[in-house]
Amino acid sequence: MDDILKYKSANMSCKALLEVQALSCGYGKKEIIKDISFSVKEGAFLGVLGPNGAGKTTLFRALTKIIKPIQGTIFYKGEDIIGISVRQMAKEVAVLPQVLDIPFSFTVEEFVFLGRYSHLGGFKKPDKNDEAVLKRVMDETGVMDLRYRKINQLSIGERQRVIFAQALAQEPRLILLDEPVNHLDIRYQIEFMDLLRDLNINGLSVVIILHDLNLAAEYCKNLLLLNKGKIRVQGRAEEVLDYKIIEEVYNTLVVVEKNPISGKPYVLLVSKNSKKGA
Amino acid sequence: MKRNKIGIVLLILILGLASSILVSVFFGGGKFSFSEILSGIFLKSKILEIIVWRIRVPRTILSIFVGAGLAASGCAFQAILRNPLAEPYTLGVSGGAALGVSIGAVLGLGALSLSISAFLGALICVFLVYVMATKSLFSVNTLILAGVVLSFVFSALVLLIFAVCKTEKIHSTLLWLMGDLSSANLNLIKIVCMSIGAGIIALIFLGREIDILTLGEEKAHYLGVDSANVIKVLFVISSLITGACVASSGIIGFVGLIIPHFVRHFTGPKHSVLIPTSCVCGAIFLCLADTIARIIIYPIELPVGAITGILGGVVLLFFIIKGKEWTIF
Repeated sequence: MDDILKYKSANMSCKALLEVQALSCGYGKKEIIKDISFSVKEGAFLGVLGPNGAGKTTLFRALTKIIKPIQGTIFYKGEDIIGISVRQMAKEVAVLPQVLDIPFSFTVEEFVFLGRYSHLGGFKKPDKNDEAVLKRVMDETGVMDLRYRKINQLSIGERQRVIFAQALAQEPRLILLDEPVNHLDIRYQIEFMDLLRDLNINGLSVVIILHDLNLAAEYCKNLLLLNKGKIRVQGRAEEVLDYKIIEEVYNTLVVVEKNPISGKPYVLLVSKNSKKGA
Repeated sequence: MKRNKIGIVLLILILGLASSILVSVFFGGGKFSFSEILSGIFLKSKILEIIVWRIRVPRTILSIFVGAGLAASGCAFQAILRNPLAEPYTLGVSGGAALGVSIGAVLGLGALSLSISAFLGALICVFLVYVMATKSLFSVNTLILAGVVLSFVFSALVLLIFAVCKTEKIHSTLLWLMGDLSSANLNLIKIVCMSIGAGIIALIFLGREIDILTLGEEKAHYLGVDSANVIKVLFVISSLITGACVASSGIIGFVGLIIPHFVRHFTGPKHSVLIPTSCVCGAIFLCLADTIARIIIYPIELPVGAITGILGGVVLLFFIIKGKEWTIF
C-alpha cells in the first residue's frame, strides 16, 4: 500500500494532490455541499472563505472521510479516498479542527506523541526517527520549553501551537486547518500564519478555512469562496476579493483597498452609521 | 530517571497488594490466632486448611480481581465517554444485572444460578445499548443516551418486582445490590477471574487508542484511529469485565469511579500506565474494604459496597479539601 502510494506520488508530482469531482455531501439527506469541483496541487496554500453556514467545515469533513459523499468522488493522489484506510489517511493528511476539547490533562510531550499513532500503531515503540520528528515539530512550533507542562494549564495561544505540533507529528503532506487563529490575538495570529507559510515553503500543502479575509489575502496563494454550498469564485486574492463579489456573498457593504506594503488587497468593513454619514 | 520512578511506584504497589492479601487472609470473622492461620496455610490442620484455602483465599482473590476489573473498566469508560464522572455502571450494566438477579430471586434460584442470571441481565442490557447505538449514527452521545435510558427502565422494573414480592426474597437481593463478595462459588471465581484478567490485558494493549479517543471521535479519526470500531470494541470489553464483576459480587459502587480518578491525579491520563496502576490500587482498595466489612461488627457482615462508598468518599473528600491543586481531571 505504502509503496504503491509512493510510486504514484513520484509519477504524479505535477498533478493534483487532492481532486474533488462533482461532490455533494451533507448530513443525512440534507445536502450542504452541492456539486462542487476543485483541486489542490502539491505545494498549494489554499484559503477557503465563505459566510457562516456556507459549508466550509462540512467540506473538510468530506475530505477527511468523516462523512461520505452523497454524490461525486474525492481523489487523493489519484486514488478514491473511500479505499484509503483511516490510518493510511492520517499519515498523509492532518487536520486541525475548529474546536478541540481536551478533557484529560496530558503533558505537552505526551500529547504531541499521540500524533505519531498513524506511524506507530498501538504497540510499536518510538525509534530514533520518531524521536527526531517529535523534537523537530516541537522546536518548529516553539513548544519545546513547555514539554513537561500540562496542556490544560497553557494559554490559548500556547495550546493552539501544541495542537499544531501534534498534527505536524503525523508528518502530513497536506494539512487542513479550520479557523486556526480564531481565538488568538494579532501577534499570535501573525506568528501562527508565518509558521504555516514557512512550512508551506518547505513542501507542506495547506488548505485553510479563514474568516479573516485580510489574513487570507495576505498569506494564501489561492482563494476559494464558498456560498450556500457552492463555489462562488476561485482564484488569486485580487480576483476573489472583489468588492462586488464580497458584498453579494456576505450581503454587507465593504471597501477593498491595497495593502501599501504587501500590495495584497484588503477589505474594510463599513458600518451602518458611517453609511448614513456618507 | 522517569522509568526508575515508575519502577519504584510499581514495587511499592505490589508490596501494598501483597500485604493487603496477607491482612485479608489473616483477619476474618472467626478469631483465629496468627499461628493457627499459619498452620492452616501449610496444611497442618484440616479445619483451618478449609477455612484458609476454601474460604478466605478464594474470597481474597475474588476481591482483588473484582477491584482491578472495576478500576480498569472505569478507566476505559471515563476515557471513551470523555467524562471523569463516568463509571462502569453508567451505561446500564448494573441495572441489567440487578433486574436479572431480582427475577432470579423471585423464581427462587440458588447462588450460582443467581450469578448467572445477573450476568445474563448485564449481557442483555449491553446488547440492547449496543443495538440502539448502532441503529442510529454510532457515537458516544447515542451510547450514553441508550445506556442511561435503559438503566432507568431496568431500575424501574426492579422496583416493580420489589413492590409485588415478599420481603424475605427481597432481603438477599438488596444485600446483593449493595455488593457482596461472600456468596461466590469456587468454580465461578475461577471463570470470573480469568475473564476479568483477560479483559484487563486487552484494555492495557489498547492504551494508545484509548488515549487518543479522549480527544473525541473526530480528532481520533484525524489521528488515524478508526473511532467507531475501536469504541465498539472497548465498550464490549469493558462491559464484559463489569458484567463478570457484578455477576460474582453484586453492585460494588465507587471503586470504578474513584480509583481511576484518584490514580489519574498521580500518573496522568496515559492509559498504558493509568490502567495497570488503577488495577493494583483498585485491588488493594477492595481487598481491604472487604476485610473491614467482614470484621468490623462481627458476626454480622456488612455489604462491602457500603464500606467502599464511605471509605472512598471520605478519602477523596479529604484530598479535595486538603490538596491545593486538586482538579477533577
